[in-house]
Amino acid sequence: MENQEAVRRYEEAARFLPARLRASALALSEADRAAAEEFRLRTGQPLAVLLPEGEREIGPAVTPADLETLCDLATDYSRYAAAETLRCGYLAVRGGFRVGLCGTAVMKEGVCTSLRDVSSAAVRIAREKRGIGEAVVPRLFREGRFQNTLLLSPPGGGKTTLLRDLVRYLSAGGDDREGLRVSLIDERGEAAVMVRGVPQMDVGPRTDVLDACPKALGIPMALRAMNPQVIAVDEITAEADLAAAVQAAGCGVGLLATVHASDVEEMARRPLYRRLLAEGVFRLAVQIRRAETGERTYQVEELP
Amino acid sequence: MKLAGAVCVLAGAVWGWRCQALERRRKRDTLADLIRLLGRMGEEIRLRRTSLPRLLHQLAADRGPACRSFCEAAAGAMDRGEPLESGWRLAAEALPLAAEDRSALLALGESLHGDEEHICKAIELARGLLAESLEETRSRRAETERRAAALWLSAGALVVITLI
Repeated sequence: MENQEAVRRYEEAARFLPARLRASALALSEADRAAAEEFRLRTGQPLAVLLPEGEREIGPAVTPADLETLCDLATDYSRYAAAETLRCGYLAVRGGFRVGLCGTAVMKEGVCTSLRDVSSAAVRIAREKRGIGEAVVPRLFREGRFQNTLLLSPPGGGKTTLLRDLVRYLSAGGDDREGLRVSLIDERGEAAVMVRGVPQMDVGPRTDVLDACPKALGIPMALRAMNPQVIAVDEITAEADLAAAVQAAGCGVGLLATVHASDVEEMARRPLYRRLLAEGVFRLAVQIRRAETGERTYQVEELP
Repeated sequence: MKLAGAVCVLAGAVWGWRCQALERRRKRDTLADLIRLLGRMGEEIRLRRTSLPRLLHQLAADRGPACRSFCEAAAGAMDRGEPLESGWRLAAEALPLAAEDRSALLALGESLHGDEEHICKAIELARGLLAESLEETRSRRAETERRAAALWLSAGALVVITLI
């Protein structure tokens, strides 16, 4: 069943490829379709698919016209409606997919305003892993109160996927707890994948999404505007994000955030995260570990 | 008998002139409709950023038959996932327009990939060219109609004289 769903998502993502490349993509075996993570398109190079073991060439050479068509299909022929994300180098696409782009940056007054002459694209095949947070959520509460939590893993470890599922569970509530109002500050548009105001991923019934907004701006905005019980952010990476998180914690709002670190020891070695630990804002950490079989386990621990 | 024949030939000339006049009028109306369509397109993109296929489907509703077919054909090609230029070109080629007006519209089809500013400029440029063309056609209209009438009637009269 899960395999079928993975294949279905692959086929949905392939719909954004130009027709002649789509045929090659759909000729891949079912097992590979279920495992594929990305389509990679580079001008002059064959269409490739990213599998857990690495990239595999599967189609004809990509032309600039193919990349233009990909952008048209991804934006519903309306790049003007995707200007905000295009200038950041990606497109959020209907169905929850994401297209990363490289090309020539159009600069105005030192700021990248758009991309033209697209030369490479990565179509990320987003797959919701519903239920991965089910066993984790009850462990994030103490005396019925949600504890500020960090999700830790190295890049590609599944932090955003877990964050999304935890947000959904917190927002929906459970048998023994009420659903919480969650404000999700989705700066990179990867957690909720908003397309014209509609989240393409299920983030729960009480979740308000502030899309494409820097965390340092978004956290105070959500605090003022949405009266959240929990604020969720993907990847604390800057001093300003940290300051905003501390401010939110001071207002009694729960925090759920991801950081790039494989464990608490690694966090403590980095200056920014050392300060984050020193502030004592976060009480719990969920470490995501990947077994050799590819299966992920989630270990909840108290932070010092 | 000769008189009846002459009347038939002259009636044929009048019919030919009338058909041509109607065709010219259809071209003018299409051009005017197209200019209004581009004006609305520019506004909607600037103010609402409506996606192009949806916008063309919406705008088709208020248009005359030729522009409605154009909008629906272009939007339909996009719905089918065809490249933007080819869908736009096929739709534009079916419009009853003069060659220079059609080429202005085709050039616009090649500029619809850009950002809002780029597209709005391209729309404004195409709209300006088409408006100039319409203005010129309108200013020459009386003279064109006179010439066409004279040509058809002279041709009819010539045929009558030759047959008699």
